[in-house]
Amino acid sequence: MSLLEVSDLHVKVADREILNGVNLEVNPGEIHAIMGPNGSGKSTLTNTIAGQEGYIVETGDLRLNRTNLLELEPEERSYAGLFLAFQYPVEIPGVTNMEFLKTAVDSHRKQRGDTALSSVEFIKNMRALVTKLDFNPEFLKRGVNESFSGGEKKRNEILQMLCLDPKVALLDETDSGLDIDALQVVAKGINEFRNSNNAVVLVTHYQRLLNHVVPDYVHVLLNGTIVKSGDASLALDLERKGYAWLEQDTGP
Amino acid sequence: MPIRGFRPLSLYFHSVFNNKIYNNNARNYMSNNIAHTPEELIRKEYTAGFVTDIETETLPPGLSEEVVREISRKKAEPEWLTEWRLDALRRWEKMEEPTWAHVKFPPIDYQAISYFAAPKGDKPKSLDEIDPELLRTYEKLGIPLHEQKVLAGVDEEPSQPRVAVDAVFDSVSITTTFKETLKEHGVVFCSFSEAVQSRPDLIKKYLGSVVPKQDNFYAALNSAVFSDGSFVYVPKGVRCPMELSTYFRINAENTGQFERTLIIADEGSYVSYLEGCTAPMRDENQLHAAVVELIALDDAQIKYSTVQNWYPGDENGVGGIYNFVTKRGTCRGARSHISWTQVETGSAITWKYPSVILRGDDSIGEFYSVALTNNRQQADTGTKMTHIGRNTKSTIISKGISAGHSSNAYRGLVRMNPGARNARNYTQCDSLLIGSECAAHTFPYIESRRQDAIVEHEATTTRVSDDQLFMCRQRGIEPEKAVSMIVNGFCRDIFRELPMEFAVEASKLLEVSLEGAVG
Amino acid sequence: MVGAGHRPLAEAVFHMTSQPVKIAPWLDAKQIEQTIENTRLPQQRKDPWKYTSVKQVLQRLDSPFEKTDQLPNHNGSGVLVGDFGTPMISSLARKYVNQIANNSNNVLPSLNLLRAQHGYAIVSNESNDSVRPAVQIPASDSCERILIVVQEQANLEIMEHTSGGNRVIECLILPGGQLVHRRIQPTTTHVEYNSLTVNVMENSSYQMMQYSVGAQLRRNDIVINIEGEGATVDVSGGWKLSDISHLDTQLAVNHRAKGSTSQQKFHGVVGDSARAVFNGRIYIARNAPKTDAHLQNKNIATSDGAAIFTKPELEIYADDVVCSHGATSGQLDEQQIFYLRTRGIPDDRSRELILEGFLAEIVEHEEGASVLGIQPRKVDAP
Repeated sequence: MSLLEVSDLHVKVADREILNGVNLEVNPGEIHAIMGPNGSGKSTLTNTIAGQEGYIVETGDLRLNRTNLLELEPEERSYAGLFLAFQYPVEIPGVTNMEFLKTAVDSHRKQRGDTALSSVEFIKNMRALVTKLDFNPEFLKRGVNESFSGGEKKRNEILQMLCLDPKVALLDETDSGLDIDALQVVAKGINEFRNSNNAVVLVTHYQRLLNHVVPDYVHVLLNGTIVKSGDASLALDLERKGYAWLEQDTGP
Repeated sequence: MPIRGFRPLSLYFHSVFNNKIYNNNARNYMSNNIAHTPEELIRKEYTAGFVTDIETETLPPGLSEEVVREISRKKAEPEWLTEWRLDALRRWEKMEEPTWAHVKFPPIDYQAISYFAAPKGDKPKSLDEIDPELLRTYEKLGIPLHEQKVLAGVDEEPSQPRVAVDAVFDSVSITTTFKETLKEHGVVFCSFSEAVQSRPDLIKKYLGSVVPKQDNFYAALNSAVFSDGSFVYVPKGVRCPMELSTYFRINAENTGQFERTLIIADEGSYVSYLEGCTAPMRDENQLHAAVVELIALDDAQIKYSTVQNWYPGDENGVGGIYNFVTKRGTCRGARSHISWTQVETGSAITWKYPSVILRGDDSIGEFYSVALTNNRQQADTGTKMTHIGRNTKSTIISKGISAGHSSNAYRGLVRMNPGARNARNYTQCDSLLIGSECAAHTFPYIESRRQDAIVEHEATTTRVSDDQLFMCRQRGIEPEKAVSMIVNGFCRDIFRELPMEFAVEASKLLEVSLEGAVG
Repeated sequence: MVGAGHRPLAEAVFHMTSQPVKIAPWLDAKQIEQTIENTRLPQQRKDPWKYTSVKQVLQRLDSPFEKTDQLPNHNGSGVLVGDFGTPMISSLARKYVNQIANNSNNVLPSLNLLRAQHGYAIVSNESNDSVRPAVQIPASDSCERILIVVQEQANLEIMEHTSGGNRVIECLILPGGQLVHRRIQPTTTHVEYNSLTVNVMENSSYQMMQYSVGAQLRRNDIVINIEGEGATVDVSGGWKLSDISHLDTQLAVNHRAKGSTSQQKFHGVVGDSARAVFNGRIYIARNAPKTDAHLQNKNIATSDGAAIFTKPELEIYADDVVCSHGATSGQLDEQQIFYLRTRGIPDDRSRELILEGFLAEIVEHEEGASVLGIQPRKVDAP
């Protein structure tokens, strides 16, 4: 049974059609990569799946574990097991990372009928996670993404992912703007996270993350539809040849 | 706290105009969850709005020499103080109400206000003599009048700091706790009326020395008719062993409250003072015009914290307190230190500028403020830092949050006088807007007459952004919780300055005040 | 509100004459006087005249002005310069003079109209980017009224000099128009008053630079109204004041349409017993969401007699905005001076260099640099 199912998704943003019929099926244990040039609709796809306001689904279906995501609020999609690592993580001044994560984890636990973790227990868990990922523990005391560097913001997204342990993680250009060390930390986090019960969807521009996290499938998104799917070797082809040859294939 | 129809306001309007569109947002087609008017989204509960049913002795409305003499007579004041009041009245009669503040209200009829209201009977000598109805009032408000209790009920562990309370009900102080314990340390903490009798030397020396009676319209009015308030004297070298606190309660109808607080910290002493205020929900506006004077001598420190929760009026702006207050401290001595911390969520109109005159060399003035306005509330608040002495330093951090149809203005003045060698000021002034019907303003005056003085002012205006909300929700945090978390984060720098018990209370107060404010 | 209390001040120093408006005879002087009667008059020592004597400005306006009829020079086609009676101009003049600067909070433009000796308009029709018309508004110590109209999609560059006069400029930038306005304010021993009101329509842009040095008293009132979507306003400038000179700049940018941006950036150096007053205001109306507005004012005092009064104001009625302001007042950074001295630059020269750098941040034009006495920054050095 598939974990995430996107069927014939048509999405408009500000009266412009951005996605016109995207289909995607992600099964447990799989890693998918979605590649495509700027403006092809990659972020529209991830934002729509997560329920961002202003993305208007005209037709199509979105299901996670058979649950219709379109009927759910963003937080309810989160409870259903969906995680989005933001391309541009948002700053929340004055709210510490620790407080933010605990509030999120407690909300999830409450939803499942579990009691909230004690602060001591939570801090213990977080310390363990932070150490495992070679993060500076100071990280947890700072405001959410407040004056974080680009790399720190992206690492923070990975930390949140591990903390909330979703069924499907969408990573929107988590690799962009990272130096090689940060890229490896992010890759390590993703490999740490994946198992046979969950799935990862990587949205990326470049092949380089895929050297560290090998996808089972690569899809090319162009002008709002997936024009080609293949295995990891497709990413290498794209790296070499760019997107123009595909554009010609699908030309008007 | 039930969450009904909780959605961003923009989304609300979006759905009104686009209800045919199949939007990628669940609530838009789950119509039973939609709030039907924006007003429904902006609700607010005021929990201190009850009225105490108690027999009150009230002077008939009106202001005249006779009324002033009567107040003075009731308090058996010495002749000089009666004359002082009358002089203030004469000056007030010649003054005009200030119009420069960014607030609007119908003219106040000063002859329609009663200038004195007190529970009937003599002042009780002990707790047992206090009318049980009054005791219940303070119990309901969570204010401990029994000495074994402390604020916010965290008294289980004996190691917890205790708080001494002066309870002012309408025009009079009804009791002051821990007086004996404080006396052992030489600290005088009592009602103002009592101090006039017991420490006339200090009253005569310091009354009006920081806020002269003709200082401004409301201060002059207060000087003429002030009824009661708190008095604190901390002797040389004494660190006050507990937090001191005054709890102001307006109960009577058509009555103004005009209290006067005077705190003197003698050389090398320290005192932390808290002030809280509430009033019943009434349809009429009530006037509160207080004066607070602080004096810090050499090496003394005064920390003055306020959690102001006067009744703000209803969602249509009916009723509520007009809070026109003059608060000022003088760092008279070298190395003295005065800090004002305020969390303001109440009052229909706030007109208030707790200030510091930095006269002593190396003295420090601080102002930390959170002012939240919702519904039709209007606030014009800020501070004045007047640098006179050398190496004086001041810090101003102001956080304004506007929601509903409210208006929230910061007004500040930083003045570096020619003698203020190496003086420093840093000001940060941030506004957070919630909803599209509110307003936020910043009017910072900077006046520097000194080359080596450094003044820095920064201000920003932001909103709780849809992106912040969305990210929190993506992580599973419900919108109402997310907003309260974001607002608390915005105010963090200020809450850090509050005594612990008050910080918790202040944070809760913000949550209640914001209830339903963010759609 | 007309407070009777402050009327006598104006009446004592400004005398109504009930003579026709010389430069714009179609206007009814009686009606203008009536407007003045009904307008709130400025009060001494109250905002916006808290730090500058309005009395001196009114007295100057009430004294006789030199007559002048000097029209600005300009460089060719696409631009029209002439007095208000000139064909092609008169209809615009009738439409806009006393309309753009018709501000219920400021009575001075109306008073200017009653006393103006000289009035003219500058109209640009030129929409060719490569031939931007340039017009020089000459210095004058007369009482003048100027109308500037930038037609749709047209360009214009103004170089203005002020010197001790009373000048009111009304300016309209129609959709898509672009105006670059440089204002040079050299030393003068007069009391000078300038009022500038600019209405900026959609997708148009207004860029202004103002460079000032000493005057006995110089007051600049600048109001920029953004009335159209997507407009951009960029105002910058600087001052270097010495002796007992007094400069007061009151600048308001009013955002009245959505999606517009504005920048205000002023640096000032104040020495001797000079006084600098700056009031920068950002106003964002409820119907102006998606506004991006920033203001920065930095001051350095170089003597103990110098006085700096600055007030950066925000008045915001829309929530979806990005807004910030900042103001500083201080002295030269001793660390910086020390650094330069360790490199062998003498103390005096170090101070000069740092001040020059501070002013150079806001100077982009040769003449602006020279009036402030600094070298312009070489942007494209070979």
